[in-house]
Amino acid sequence: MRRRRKIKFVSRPSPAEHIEALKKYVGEAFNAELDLLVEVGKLRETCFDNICLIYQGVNELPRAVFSGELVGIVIEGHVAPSPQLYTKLFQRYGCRSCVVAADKGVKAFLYGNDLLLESVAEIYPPVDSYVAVLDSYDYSVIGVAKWDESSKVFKNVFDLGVYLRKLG
Amino acid sequence: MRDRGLDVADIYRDIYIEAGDKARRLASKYGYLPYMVQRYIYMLGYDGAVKLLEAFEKPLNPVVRVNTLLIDSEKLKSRLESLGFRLEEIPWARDAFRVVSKPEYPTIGSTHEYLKGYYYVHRDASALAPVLLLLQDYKGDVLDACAAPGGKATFASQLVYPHGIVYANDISLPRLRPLIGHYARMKLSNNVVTWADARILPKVWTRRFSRVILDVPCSSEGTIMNDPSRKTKTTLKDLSILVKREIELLDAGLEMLSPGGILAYITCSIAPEENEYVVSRVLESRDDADVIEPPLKLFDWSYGFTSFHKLVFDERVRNCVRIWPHVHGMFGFTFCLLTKTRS
Repeated sequence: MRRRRKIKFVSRPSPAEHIEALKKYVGEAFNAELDLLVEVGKLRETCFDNICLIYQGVNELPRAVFSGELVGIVIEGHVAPSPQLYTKLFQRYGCRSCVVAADKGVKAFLYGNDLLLESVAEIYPPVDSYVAVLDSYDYSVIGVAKWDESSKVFKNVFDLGVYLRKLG
Repeated sequence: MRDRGLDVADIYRDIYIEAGDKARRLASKYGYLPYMVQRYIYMLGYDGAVKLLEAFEKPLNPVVRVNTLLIDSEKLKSRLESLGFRLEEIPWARDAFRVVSKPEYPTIGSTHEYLKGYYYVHRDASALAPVLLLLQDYKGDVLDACAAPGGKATFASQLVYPHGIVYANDISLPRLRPLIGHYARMKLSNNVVTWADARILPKVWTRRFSRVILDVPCSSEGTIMNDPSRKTKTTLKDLSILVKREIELLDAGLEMLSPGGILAYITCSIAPEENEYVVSRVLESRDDADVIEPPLKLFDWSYGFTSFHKLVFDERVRNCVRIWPHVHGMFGFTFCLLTKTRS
Protein backbone atom coordinates (compact mmCIF):
# COMPACT_ATOMS: atom_id res chain seq x y z
CA MET A 1 0.00 0.00 0.00
CA ARG A 2 1.27 3.46 -0.90
CA ARG A 3 1.67 5.76 2.08
CA ARG A 4 0.90 9.42 1.73
CA ARG A 5 4.00 11.48 2.52
CA LYS A 6 3.53 14.28 5.00
CA ILE A 7 4.47 17.75 3.79
CA LYS A 8 6.43 19.89 6.20
CA PHE A 9 4.60 23.19 5.96
CA VAL A 10 5.31 26.50 7.67
CA SER A 11 3.69 29.91 7.08
CA ARG A 12 5.01 32.79 9.17
CA PRO A 13 6.41 36.31 9.16
CA SER A 14 9.95 36.15 7.76
CA PRO A 15 12.43 35.52 10.58
CA ALA A 16 14.69 38.49 11.35
CA GLU A 17 17.82 36.58 10.30
CA HIS A 18 16.41 35.95 6.82
CA ILE A 19 15.50 39.61 6.36
CA GLU A 20 18.93 40.65 7.65
CA ALA A 21 20.66 38.29 5.24
CA LEU A 22 18.76 39.81 2.29
CA LYS A 23 19.42 43.35 3.50
CA LYS A 24 23.11 42.63 3.92
CA TYR A 25 23.45 41.18 0.45
CA VAL A 26 21.56 44.01 -1.24
CA GLY A 27 23.64 46.52 0.71
CA GLU A 28 26.99 44.95 -0.15
CA ALA A 29 26.34 43.99 -3.76
CA PHE A 30 24.27 46.96 -4.89
CA ASN A 31 25.06 49.57 -2.24
CA ALA A 32 21.30 49.82 -1.83
CA GLU A 33 18.66 49.46 0.82
CA LEU A 34 16.16 46.64 0.61
CA ASP A 35 13.53 48.88 2.20
CA LEU A 36 13.46 51.01 -0.96
CA LEU A 37 12.35 48.02 -3.02
CA VAL A 38 10.03 46.09 -0.73
CA GLU A 39 8.05 46.74 2.42
CA VAL A 40 10.32 44.85 4.76
CA GLY A 41 7.79 44.89 7.59
CA LYS A 42 5.32 42.97 5.45
CA LEU A 43 7.68 40.16 4.45
CA ARG A 44 6.37 36.68 5.15
CA GLU A 45 7.50 33.24 4.17
CA THR A 46 5.90 29.95 3.36
CA CYS A 47 7.92 26.76 3.49
CA PHE A 48 7.21 23.42 1.86
CA ASP A 49 9.64 20.81 3.13
CA ASN A 50 13.11 22.25 2.50
CA ILE A 51 12.27 25.34 0.43
CA CYS A 52 10.91 28.62 1.79
CA LEU A 53 9.49 31.37 -0.37
CA ILE A 54 9.78 34.92 0.95
CA TYR A 55 7.03 37.19 -0.32
CA GLN A 56 5.56 40.55 0.35
CA GLY A 57 2.02 40.36 1.65
CA VAL A 58 -0.35 42.63 -0.27
CA ASN A 59 -2.97 42.57 2.44
CA GLU A 60 -4.00 40.83 5.58
CA LEU A 61 -6.40 38.01 4.92
CA PRO A 62 -7.05 34.97 7.09
CA ARG A 63 -5.41 31.83 5.72
CA ALA A 64 -3.17 33.61 3.17
CA VAL A 65 -0.06 31.56 2.40
CA PHE A 66 1.41 33.54 -0.49
CA SER A 67 0.78 36.84 -2.19
CA GLY A 68 2.26 39.31 -4.61
CA GLU A 69 5.80 38.91 -5.78
CA LEU A 70 8.44 36.45 -4.75
CA VAL A 71 11.16 38.40 -2.92
CA GLY A 72 13.59 35.72 -1.84
CA ILE A 73 14.23 32.03 -1.49
CA VAL A 74 15.58 30.10 1.46
CA ILE A 75 17.06 26.82 0.31
CA GLU A 76 19.65 24.53 1.84
CA GLY A 77 20.90 27.19 4.24
CA HIS A 78 21.06 29.93 1.59
CA VAL A 79 18.94 33.07 1.72
CA ALA A 80 19.00 34.45 -1.82
CA PRO A 81 17.10 37.18 -3.68
CA SER A 82 14.42 35.98 -6.10
CA PRO A 83 14.69 36.55 -9.86
CA GLN A 84 11.97 39.19 -9.44
CA LEU A 85 14.01 41.09 -6.82
CA TYR A 86 17.14 40.87 -8.98
CA THR A 87 15.20 42.28 -11.92
CA LYS A 88 14.12 45.24 -9.78
CA LEU A 89 17.69 45.77 -8.57
CA PHE A 90 19.06 45.74 -12.12
CA GLN A 91 16.41 48.20 -13.29
CA ARG A 92 17.32 50.58 -10.50
CA TYR A 93 21.06 50.11 -10.01
CA GLY A 94 22.27 48.56 -13.27
CA CYS A 95 23.77 45.17 -13.96
CA ARG A 96 25.90 44.15 -10.96
CA SER A 97 26.63 40.98 -9.11
CA CYS A 98 25.62 38.79 -12.01
CA VAL A 99 27.00 36.47 -14.64
CA VAL A 100 25.64 35.89 -18.12
CA ALA A 101 25.54 32.21 -19.05
CA ALA A 102 26.14 31.02 -22.60
CA ASP A 103 23.58 28.69 -24.16
CA LYS A 104 25.24 25.46 -23.00
CA GLY A 105 25.58 26.81 -19.48
CA VAL A 106 21.91 27.88 -19.40
CA LYS A 107 20.79 24.37 -20.34
CA ALA A 108 22.86 22.74 -17.61
CA PHE A 109 22.07 25.35 -14.97
CA LEU A 110 18.30 25.22 -15.45
CA TYR A 111 18.38 21.50 -14.80
CA GLY A 112 20.06 22.01 -11.43
CA ASN A 113 23.74 21.81 -12.41
CA ASP A 114 26.53 24.22 -11.50
CA LEU A 115 27.75 26.82 -13.96
CA LEU A 116 31.23 26.13 -15.28
CA LEU A 117 33.52 29.09 -15.85
CA GLU A 118 33.85 28.23 -19.54
CA SER A 119 30.06 28.55 -19.87
CA VAL A 120 30.09 32.13 -18.59
CA ALA A 121 29.92 34.76 -21.32
CA GLU A 122 30.04 37.92 -19.17
CA ILE A 123 30.78 38.74 -15.53
CA TYR A 124 29.54 41.83 -13.68
CA PRO A 125 31.21 42.16 -10.24
CA PRO A 126 31.02 41.89 -7.32
CA VAL A 127 30.88 38.11 -7.48
CA ASP A 128 32.19 37.23 -4.02
CA SER A 129 28.72 36.35 -2.70
CA TYR A 130 25.53 35.38 -4.53
CA VAL A 131 25.30 36.24 -8.21
CA ALA A 132 22.28 36.31 -10.46
CA VAL A 133 22.65 34.00 -13.45
CA LEU A 134 21.31 35.56 -16.66
CA ASP A 135 20.37 33.83 -19.89
CA SER A 136 22.48 35.26 -22.75
CA TYR A 137 19.45 34.86 -25.07
CA ASP A 138 17.28 37.52 -23.43
CA TYR A 139 19.21 38.59 -20.30
CA SER A 140 16.46 37.30 -18.02
CA VAL A 141 17.36 35.99 -14.55
CA ILE A 142 17.30 32.19 -14.51
CA GLY A 143 18.62 31.64 -11.00
CA VAL A 144 21.21 32.36 -8.37
CA ALA A 145 24.71 30.93 -7.92
CA LYS A 146 27.70 31.33 -5.64
CA TRP A 147 31.35 31.23 -6.70
CA ASP A 148 33.24 28.27 -5.28
CA GLU A 149 36.96 28.89 -5.28
CA SER A 150 37.96 25.29 -4.71
CA SER A 151 36.06 23.80 -7.62
CA LYS A 152 36.22 26.98 -9.76
CA VAL A 153 32.52 26.85 -10.62
CA PHE A 154 29.48 28.96 -9.84
CA LYS A 155 27.58 26.60 -7.54
CA ASN A 156 23.87 26.39 -8.26
CA VAL A 157 21.96 27.82 -5.30
CA PHE A 158 18.60 28.13 -7.01
CA ASP A 159 17.37 27.95 -10.58
CA LEU A 160 13.95 28.31 -12.15
CA GLY A 161 13.70 24.54 -12.46
CA VAL A 162 13.32 24.43 -8.67
CA TYR A 163 9.66 25.44 -9.00
CA LEU A 164 9.09 22.26 -10.97
CA ARG A 165 11.42 20.03 -8.98
CA LYS A 166 10.44 21.15 -5.47
CA LEU A 167 6.92 22.48 -5.88
CA GLY A 168 5.64 20.19 -8.63
CA MET B 1 -25.52 30.51 3.92
CA ARG B 2 -28.56 28.28 3.76
CA ASP B 3 -28.79 25.38 6.16
CA ARG B 4 -30.20 22.93 3.66
CA GLY B 5 -29.78 19.70 5.66
CA LEU B 6 -28.49 17.89 2.61
CA ASP B 7 -28.61 14.17 2.85
CA VAL B 8 -26.49 11.88 0.66
CA ALA B 9 -29.18 9.20 0.85
CA ASP B 10 -31.76 11.63 -0.62
CA ILE B 11 -29.39 12.58 -3.40
CA TYR B 12 -28.70 8.91 -4.07
CA ARG B 13 -32.42 8.24 -4.37
CA ASP B 14 -32.79 11.18 -6.76
CA ILE B 15 -29.97 10.16 -9.06
CA TYR B 16 -30.35 6.38 -8.87
CA ILE B 17 -30.29 4.75 -12.27
CA GLU B 18 -30.57 1.13 -13.36
CA ALA B 19 -28.55 -0.02 -16.34
CA GLY B 20 -30.36 -1.90 -19.11
CA ASP B 21 -29.00 -4.68 -21.29
CA LYS B 22 -27.69 -2.40 -24.05
CA ALA B 23 -25.84 -0.25 -21.51
CA ARG B 24 -24.37 -3.33 -19.84
CA ARG B 25 -23.08 -4.67 -23.14
CA LEU B 26 -21.47 -1.35 -24.05
CA ALA B 27 -20.08 -0.97 -20.52
CA SER B 28 -18.50 -4.40 -20.77
CA LYS B 29 -17.04 -3.65 -24.21
CA TYR B 30 -15.50 -0.29 -23.21
CA GLY B 31 -14.73 -1.14 -19.56
CA TYR B 32 -17.17 1.19 -17.74
CA LEU B 33 -19.49 0.91 -14.78
CA PRO B 34 -22.87 0.07 -16.39
CA TYR B 35 -24.78 2.95 -14.77
CA MET B 36 -22.45 5.46 -16.45
CA VAL B 37 -23.18 4.15 -19.92
CA GLN B 38 -26.93 4.03 -19.22
CA ARG B 39 -26.71 7.77 -18.53
CA TYR B 40 -24.91 8.36 -21.82
CA ILE B 41 -27.72 6.52 -23.62
CA TYR B 42 -30.36 8.64 -21.83
CA MET B 43 -28.53 11.84 -22.72
CA LEU B 44 -27.42 11.12 -26.27
CA GLY B 45 -29.32 8.08 -27.54
CA TYR B 46 -27.59 4.80 -28.35
CA ASP B 47 -25.62 6.02 -31.38
CA GLY B 48 -24.55 9.20 -29.60
CA ALA B 49 -23.41 7.18 -26.60
CA VAL B 50 -21.27 4.97 -28.84
CA LYS B 51 -19.73 8.08 -30.43
CA LEU B 52 -18.97 9.48 -26.97
CA LEU B 53 -17.42 6.20 -25.83
CA GLU B 54 -15.28 6.13 -28.98
CA ALA B 55 -14.15 9.73 -28.36
CA PHE B 56 -13.18 8.73 -24.83
CA GLU B 57 -10.79 6.17 -26.33
CA LYS B 58 -8.67 8.88 -27.96
CA PRO B 59 -6.39 10.89 -25.61
CA LEU B 60 -6.18 14.62 -26.24
CA ASN B 61 -2.97 16.58 -26.61
CA PRO B 62 -2.23 19.38 -24.14
CA VAL B 63 -2.77 23.07 -24.76
CA VAL B 64 -0.21 25.80 -24.22
CA ARG B 65 -1.48 29.14 -22.92
CA VAL B 66 0.99 31.95 -23.48
CA ASN B 67 1.94 34.22 -20.59
CA THR B 68 1.59 37.35 -22.69
CA LEU B 69 2.91 39.48 -19.83
CA LEU B 70 6.33 37.90 -20.46
CA ILE B 71 6.41 36.95 -24.15
CA ASP B 72 4.61 37.55 -27.40
CA SER B 73 2.55 34.57 -28.66
CA GLU B 74 4.19 34.40 -32.07
CA LYS B 75 7.66 34.55 -30.56
CA LEU B 76 6.88 31.69 -28.16
CA LYS B 77 5.28 29.68 -30.94
CA SER B 78 8.37 29.96 -33.11
CA ARG B 79 10.66 29.11 -30.17
CA LEU B 80 8.68 25.98 -29.36
CA GLU B 81 8.50 25.02 -33.02
CA SER B 82 12.27 25.34 -33.26
CA LEU B 83 12.45 22.69 -30.51
CA GLY B 84 10.35 20.33 -32.64
CA PHE B 85 6.83 21.00 -31.33
CA ARG B 86 4.02 21.54 -33.81
CA LEU B 87 1.34 23.89 -32.52
CA GLU B 88 -2.15 24.60 -33.76
CA GLU B 89 -4.09 27.74 -32.92
CA ILE B 90 -7.28 27.49 -30.86
CA PRO B 91 -9.63 29.59 -33.05
CA TRP B 92 -11.67 30.99 -30.15
CA ALA B 93 -8.85 31.51 -27.63
CA ARG B 94 -6.21 34.03 -28.53
CA ASP B 95 -2.72 33.18 -27.25
CA ALA B 96 -3.43 29.47 -26.83
CA PHE B 97 -2.19 26.58 -28.96
CA ARG B 98 -2.81 22.86 -28.98
CA VAL B 99 0.35 20.75 -29.16
CA VAL B 100 -0.23 18.68 -32.28
CA SER B 101 3.07 16.82 -32.22
CA LYS B 102 6.13 16.83 -30.03
CA PRO B 103 9.78 15.91 -30.19
CA GLU B 104 11.23 13.00 -28.25
CA TYR B 105 12.81 15.51 -25.90
CA PRO B 106 12.08 17.85 -24.09
CA THR B 107 8.51 17.41 -22.89
CA ILE B 108 6.21 20.44 -23.16
CA GLY B 109 6.36 20.82 -19.37
CA SER B 110 10.14 20.93 -19.11
CA THR B 111 11.40 23.31 -21.79
CA HIS B 112 13.44 26.34 -20.75
CA GLU B 113 10.59 28.47 -21.98
CA TYR B 114 8.27 26.69 -19.56
CA LEU B 115 10.70 27.07 -16.65
CA LYS B 116 10.97 30.77 -17.47
CA GLY B 117 7.22 31.11 -17.05
CA TYR B 118 6.42 31.87 -20.68
CA TYR B 119 3.42 29.54 -20.73
CA TYR B 120 1.08 27.27 -18.78
CA VAL B 121 0.25 23.76 -19.92
CA HIS B 122 -3.46 22.92 -19.77
CA ARG B 123 -4.61 19.36 -20.25
CA ASP B 124 -7.17 20.72 -22.73
CA ALA B 125 -8.63 23.96 -24.11
CA SER B 126 -12.06 23.55 -22.53
CA ALA B 127 -10.94 25.12 -19.24
CA LEU B 128 -10.18 28.42 -21.00
CA ALA B 129 -13.77 29.04 -22.11
CA PRO B 130 -15.47 29.82 -18.76
CA VAL B 131 -12.63 32.10 -17.66
CA LEU B 132 -12.75 34.04 -20.95
CA LEU B 133 -16.51 34.45 -20.63
CA LEU B 134 -16.52 35.31 -16.93
CA LEU B 135 -13.85 37.98 -17.31
CA GLN B 136 -15.06 39.42 -20.59
CA ASP B 137 -14.60 43.21 -20.28
CA TYR B 138 -13.86 42.89 -16.55
CA LYS B 139 -10.81 44.31 -14.77
CA GLY B 140 -11.40 43.89 -11.02
CA ASP B 141 -10.63 41.36 -8.30
CA VAL B 142 -11.54 37.69 -8.75
CA LEU B 143 -11.99 34.82 -6.32
CA ASP B 144 -10.98 31.39 -7.58
CA ALA B 145 -12.37 29.28 -4.75
CA CYS B 146 -10.96 25.86 -5.73
CA ALA B 147 -7.91 27.08 -7.57
CA ALA B 148 -5.20 24.39 -7.50
CA PRO B 149 -3.21 23.56 -9.53
CA GLY B 150 -3.67 27.05 -10.93
CA GLY B 151 -4.56 26.96 -14.63
CA LYS B 152 -7.64 29.14 -14.33
CA ALA B 153 -6.22 31.30 -11.54
CA THR B 154 -3.06 32.22 -13.46
CA PHE B 155 -5.14 32.81 -16.59
CA ALA B 156 -7.44 35.10 -14.62
CA SER B 157 -4.41 36.93 -13.22
CA GLN B 158 -3.21 37.58 -16.76
CA LEU B 159 -6.62 38.79 -17.90
CA VAL B 160 -7.23 41.27 -15.06
CA TYR B 161 -3.62 42.48 -14.78
CA PRO B 162 -2.74 45.15 -13.62
CA HIS B 163 -6.14 46.28 -12.34
CA GLY B 164 -7.33 43.28 -10.37
CA ILE B 165 -6.01 40.72 -7.92
CA VAL B 166 -6.89 37.03 -8.08
CA TYR B 167 -7.59 35.41 -4.72
CA ALA B 168 -6.64 31.81 -5.38
CA ASN B 169 -7.90 29.48 -2.69
CA ASP B 170 -7.66 25.73 -2.28
CA ILE B 171 -8.31 23.18 0.43
CA SER B 172 -5.45 20.85 -0.44
CA LEU B 173 -1.96 21.62 0.82
CA PRO B 174 -0.19 19.27 -1.62
CA ARG B 175 -2.02 21.03 -4.46
CA LEU B 176 -1.26 24.52 -3.13
CA ARG B 177 2.42 23.82 -3.70
CA PRO B 178 2.22 23.78 -7.52
CA LEU B 179 -0.28 26.65 -7.42
CA ILE B 180 2.27 28.88 -5.67
CA GLY B 181 4.98 27.43 -7.91
CA HIS B 182 3.08 28.48 -11.04
CA TYR B 183 2.57 32.01 -9.71
CA ALA B 184 6.28 32.33 -8.88
CA ARG B 185 7.36 30.74 -12.16
CA MET B 186 5.08 32.92 -14.29
CA LYS B 187 6.00 36.06 -12.33
CA LEU B 188 2.35 37.01 -11.91
CA SER B 189 2.27 39.35 -8.94
CA ASN B 190 -1.47 40.08 -8.74
CA ASN B 191 -2.31 37.14 -6.52
CA VAL B 192 -3.22 36.17 -2.99
CA VAL B 193 -3.08 32.42 -2.36
CA THR B 194 -5.10 31.07 0.56
CA TRP B 195 -5.55 27.68 2.16
CA ALA B 196 -9.11 26.92 3.21
CA ASP B 197 -12.13 24.79 2.53
CA ALA B 198 -14.14 27.03 0.17
CA ARG B 199 -17.27 26.12 2.12
CA ILE B 200 -16.05 28.10 5.14
CA LEU B 201 -14.95 31.21 3.24
CA PRO B 202 -18.25 33.10 3.76
CA LYS B 203 -17.71 32.71 7.51
CA VAL B 204 -14.04 33.66 7.70
CA TRP B 205 -13.84 36.44 5.08
CA THR B 206 -15.93 39.56 5.18
CA ARG B 207 -15.13 40.73 1.68
CA ARG B 208 -17.16 39.70 -1.34
CA PHE B 209 -16.28 39.52 -5.06
CA SER B 210 -17.77 40.63 -8.35
CA ARG B 211 -16.38 37.57 -10.09
CA VAL B 212 -16.03 34.05 -8.67
CA ILE B 213 -14.53 31.02 -10.40
CA LEU B 214 -15.81 27.80 -8.86
CA ASP B 215 -14.24 24.79 -10.55
CA VAL B 216 -15.39 22.20 -8.07
CA PRO B 217 -13.68 18.87 -7.33
CA CYS B 218 -15.79 16.45 -9.36
CA SER B 219 -15.86 12.97 -10.84
CA SER B 220 -13.76 14.21 -13.81
CA GLU B 221 -15.97 12.05 -16.00
CA GLY B 222 -15.20 14.31 -18.95
CA THR B 223 -11.49 13.54 -18.88
CA ILE B 224 -11.71 9.77 -19.34
CA MET B 225 -9.72 9.94 -22.59
CA ASN B 226 -6.68 11.09 -20.60
CA ASP B 227 -7.46 9.18 -17.40
CA PRO B 228 -9.18 5.86 -18.17
CA SER B 229 -9.25 4.96 -14.46
CA ARG B 230 -12.31 7.23 -14.32
CA LYS B 231 -14.31 4.60 -16.22
CA THR B 232 -14.78 2.66 -13.00
CA LYS B 233 -13.72 5.03 -10.23
CA THR B 234 -17.01 6.69 -9.27
CA THR B 235 -19.88 4.52 -8.08
CA LEU B 236 -23.35 6.01 -7.76
CA LYS B 237 -22.76 6.24 -4.02
CA ASP B 238 -19.49 8.14 -4.59
CA LEU B 239 -21.29 10.37 -7.06
CA SER B 240 -23.93 11.20 -4.44
CA ILE B 241 -21.22 12.26 -2.01
CA LEU B 242 -19.58 14.43 -4.69
CA VAL B 243 -22.92 16.01 -5.58
CA LYS B 244 -23.57 16.90 -1.94
CA ARG B 245 -20.22 18.66 -1.71
CA GLU B 246 -20.81 20.39 -5.05
CA ILE B 247 -24.15 21.78 -3.82
CA GLU B 248 -22.46 23.05 -0.65
CA LEU B 249 -19.62 24.61 -2.62
CA LEU B 250 -21.95 26.36 -5.06
CA ASP B 251 -23.99 27.73 -2.18
CA ALA B 252 -20.83 29.03 -0.49
CA GLY B 253 -19.59 30.45 -3.80
CA LEU B 254 -22.81 32.43 -4.21
CA GLU B 255 -22.39 33.73 -0.66
CA MET B 256 -18.97 35.06 -1.68
CA LEU B 257 -20.51 36.91 -4.63
CA SER B 258 -21.46 40.60 -4.50
CA PRO B 259 -24.94 41.56 -5.73
CA GLY B 260 -24.80 41.88 -9.51
CA GLY B 261 -21.65 39.76 -9.63
CA ILE B 262 -21.13 36.65 -11.74
CA LEU B 263 -19.98 33.20 -10.70
CA ALA B 264 -18.78 30.49 -13.07
CA TYR B 265 -19.73 27.04 -11.79
CA ILE B 266 -17.45 24.60 -13.59
CA THR B 267 -16.94 20.85 -13.71
CA CYS B 268 -14.84 18.70 -16.00
CA SER B 269 -17.76 16.31 -15.99
CA ILE B 270 -20.62 15.57 -18.34
CA ALA B 271 -22.77 14.18 -15.54
CA PRO B 272 -26.12 16.03 -15.30
CA GLU B 273 -26.10 15.04 -11.63
CA GLU B 274 -23.00 17.18 -11.05
CA ASN B 275 -24.20 20.08 -13.16
CA GLU B 276 -27.86 20.77 -13.95
CA TYR B 277 -28.98 18.88 -10.83
CA VAL B 278 -26.56 20.78 -8.54
CA VAL B 279 -27.50 24.16 -10.00
CA SER B 280 -31.23 23.38 -9.84
CA ARG B 281 -31.00 22.29 -6.20
CA VAL B 282 -29.24 25.53 -5.30
CA LEU B 283 -31.68 27.69 -7.31
CA GLU B 284 -34.53 25.93 -5.58
CA SER B 285 -33.24 26.94 -2.16
CA ARG B 286 -32.35 30.55 -2.94
CA ASP B 287 -34.30 33.46 -4.35
CA ASP B 288 -31.25 35.63 -5.01
CA ALA B 289 -29.58 33.72 -7.83
CA ASP B 290 -30.14 33.32 -11.54
CA VAL B 291 -28.43 31.55 -14.44
CA ILE B 292 -27.38 33.90 -17.21
CA GLU B 293 -26.50 33.35 -20.83
CA PRO B 294 -22.79 33.65 -21.68
CA PRO B 295 -22.04 37.15 -23.02
CA LEU B 296 -20.79 35.77 -26.34
CA LYS B 297 -20.63 32.50 -28.19
CA LEU B 298 -17.02 31.41 -28.50
CA PHE B 299 -17.88 28.31 -30.55
CA ASP B 300 -20.91 26.19 -31.31
CA TRP B 301 -21.28 24.59 -27.89
CA SER B 302 -24.28 22.65 -26.57
CA TYR B 303 -26.68 23.80 -23.87
CA GLY B 304 -27.78 22.41 -20.52
CA PHE B 305 -30.45 19.76 -20.14
CA THR B 306 -33.78 20.75 -18.59
CA SER B 307 -34.60 17.13 -17.81
CA PHE B 308 -32.75 13.86 -17.52
CA HIS B 309 -34.11 10.39 -16.84
CA LYS B 310 -36.67 10.93 -14.07
CA LEU B 311 -35.31 14.36 -13.06
CA VAL B 312 -36.79 17.69 -14.16
CA PHE B 313 -34.45 20.63 -13.71
CA ASP B 314 -34.96 24.35 -13.31
CA GLU B 315 -35.65 25.79 -16.80
CA ARG B 316 -32.86 28.32 -16.33
CA VAL B 317 -30.14 25.66 -16.53
CA ARG B 318 -30.75 25.65 -20.28
CA ASN B 319 -28.26 28.58 -20.24
CA CYS B 320 -25.49 26.30 -18.99
CA VAL B 321 -22.83 25.32 -21.51
CA ARG B 322 -21.94 21.73 -22.36
CA ILE B 323 -18.83 20.67 -24.23
CA TRP B 324 -18.90 17.14 -25.62
CA PRO B 325 -15.78 15.16 -26.57
CA HIS B 326 -17.40 13.56 -29.63
CA VAL B 327 -18.85 16.85 -30.89
CA HIS B 328 -16.32 19.51 -29.89
CA GLY B 329 -13.08 17.50 -29.73
CA MET B 330 -12.35 18.57 -26.16
CA PHE B 331 -12.77 17.24 -22.64
CA GLY B 332 -16.34 16.70 -21.55
CA PHE B 333 -16.94 19.89 -19.66
CA THR B 334 -19.89 21.82 -18.27
CA PHE B 335 -20.20 25.32 -16.88
CA CYS B 336 -22.96 27.68 -15.84
CA LEU B 337 -22.73 31.42 -15.24
CA LEU B 338 -24.80 32.45 -12.25
CA THR B 339 -25.51 35.92 -11.02
CA LYS B 340 -26.61 37.18 -7.64
CA THR B 341 -29.63 39.37 -7.99
CA ARG B 342 -29.53 41.03 -4.55
CA SER B 343 -27.68 40.88 -1.22
